[in-house]
Amino acid sequence: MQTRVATVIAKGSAQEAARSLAREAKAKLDGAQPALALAFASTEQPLGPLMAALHAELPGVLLLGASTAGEFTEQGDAKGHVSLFAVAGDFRAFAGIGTGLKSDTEGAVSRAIGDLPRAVDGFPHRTAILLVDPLAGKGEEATLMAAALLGEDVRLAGGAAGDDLHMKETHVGLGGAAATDAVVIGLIYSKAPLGVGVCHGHQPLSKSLKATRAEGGVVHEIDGQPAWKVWQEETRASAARRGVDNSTLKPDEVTPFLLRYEAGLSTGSELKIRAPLSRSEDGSLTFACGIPQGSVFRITESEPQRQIDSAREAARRALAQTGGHPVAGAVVFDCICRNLILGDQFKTAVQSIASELGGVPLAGFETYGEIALDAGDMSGFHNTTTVVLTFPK
Amino acid sequence: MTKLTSPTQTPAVAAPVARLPRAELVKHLSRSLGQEKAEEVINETATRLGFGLIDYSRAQTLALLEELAATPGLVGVVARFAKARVILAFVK
Repeated sequence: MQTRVATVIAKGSAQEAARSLAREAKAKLDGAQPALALAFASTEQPLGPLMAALHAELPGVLLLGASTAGEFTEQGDAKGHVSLFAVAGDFRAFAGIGTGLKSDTEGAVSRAIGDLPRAVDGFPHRTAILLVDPLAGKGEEATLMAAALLGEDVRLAGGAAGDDLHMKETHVGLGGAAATDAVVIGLIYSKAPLGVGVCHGHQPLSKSLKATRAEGGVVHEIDGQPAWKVWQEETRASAARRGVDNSTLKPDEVTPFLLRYEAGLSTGSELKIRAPLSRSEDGSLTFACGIPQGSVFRITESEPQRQIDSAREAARRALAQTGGHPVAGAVVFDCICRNLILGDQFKTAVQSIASELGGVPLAGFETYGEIALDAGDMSGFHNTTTVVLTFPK
Repeated sequence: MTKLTSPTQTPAVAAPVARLPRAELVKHLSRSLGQEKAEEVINETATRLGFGLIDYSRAQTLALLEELAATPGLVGVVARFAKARVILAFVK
């Protein structure tokens, strides 16, 4: 069966958006029943009501969802919208949800994987989609646990939900419901491999710094100083070149600022980026995954052209994994920091991904963290990256 | 429950080895922890267990990763994940 992909973006209330998305997706799929649909919703369409309405509009379709910090399709990006990706073809998809991610990460991941089938006759390739609540601070932990439980042959792709940079509450959804402090895991069986590509465009800015007091995802002190104070000092000159005085940031400007200057752990060949999501009153910084005390990193920065180039490279890497099999469409998990850096050029970066894949439809959202893990990888949670998940024709 | 399928993707570690160099073990953990933290936890644990800092047998690698797996937080999670994958590097 030929793969058909529909991508749609809509606005309005949750109910209005759901109706519009379902109507357009059905038209684009020309009557084919989707094996899977993913909905990515801004805080203007709360994920719970959106999932319930969309589930009712698309009966029998496996529906996964996440709240976002921005939404896009190959046509361009938006805020306050919902983007939808629906795929029909030779795929068998299953999913589960686990809550209690922060206090019982392993339990939440185990419950999400639960009774997902371990094999489907005639569909030898397995790819998992993970959607996680990043404010639980367990992004890497959940990813590695899922990879261990699913098995070494499973490629992972996914994203950490957003909330339009409010940093208050992020949601993931399955079927007609949504939850916070949760992980959703979808497992796709296919006849041809899906491709997963990941790339970032950041480079070191600061000297090496050490997390001298840290617990879980919270870094209290760096080199014996409050973490935020060090971040300010190390980024002052770069920020000033952009016309930003980082000593006078308003509370709602701190997170966007931090997302432009993320931590880069040295891993030998390249940097592993970790995003500070928020600053607390005591000057500590909260990350989307654990930062062990004693970790050494450098603060990084990027520029627009490197972000566009890295998006293209992520698409190329995804293509390389499919063994030359033509692509029908893609889901893209793109760090919100890229949008902050690119501004009006973000649309160009999205379109460059579609172009690199052969002009195919794509849909995605701006995340607080990205997930990509291939066979043999030892880490799967990323920040500042573009993750491209391609579906074969 | 049916058994896992084994599609065409490449395994984590291609060539079996008799001993795993410490640097290789550090490399695996550094992907999540960063180079310096990975070095620190491997060196501390290896020294405590009296294993030296050159390379490790299968049993030593298992013992090292099991010790690290008991650490709270990300270090423990990464060690448990590495244990499942790194051990495939050894000759059966």
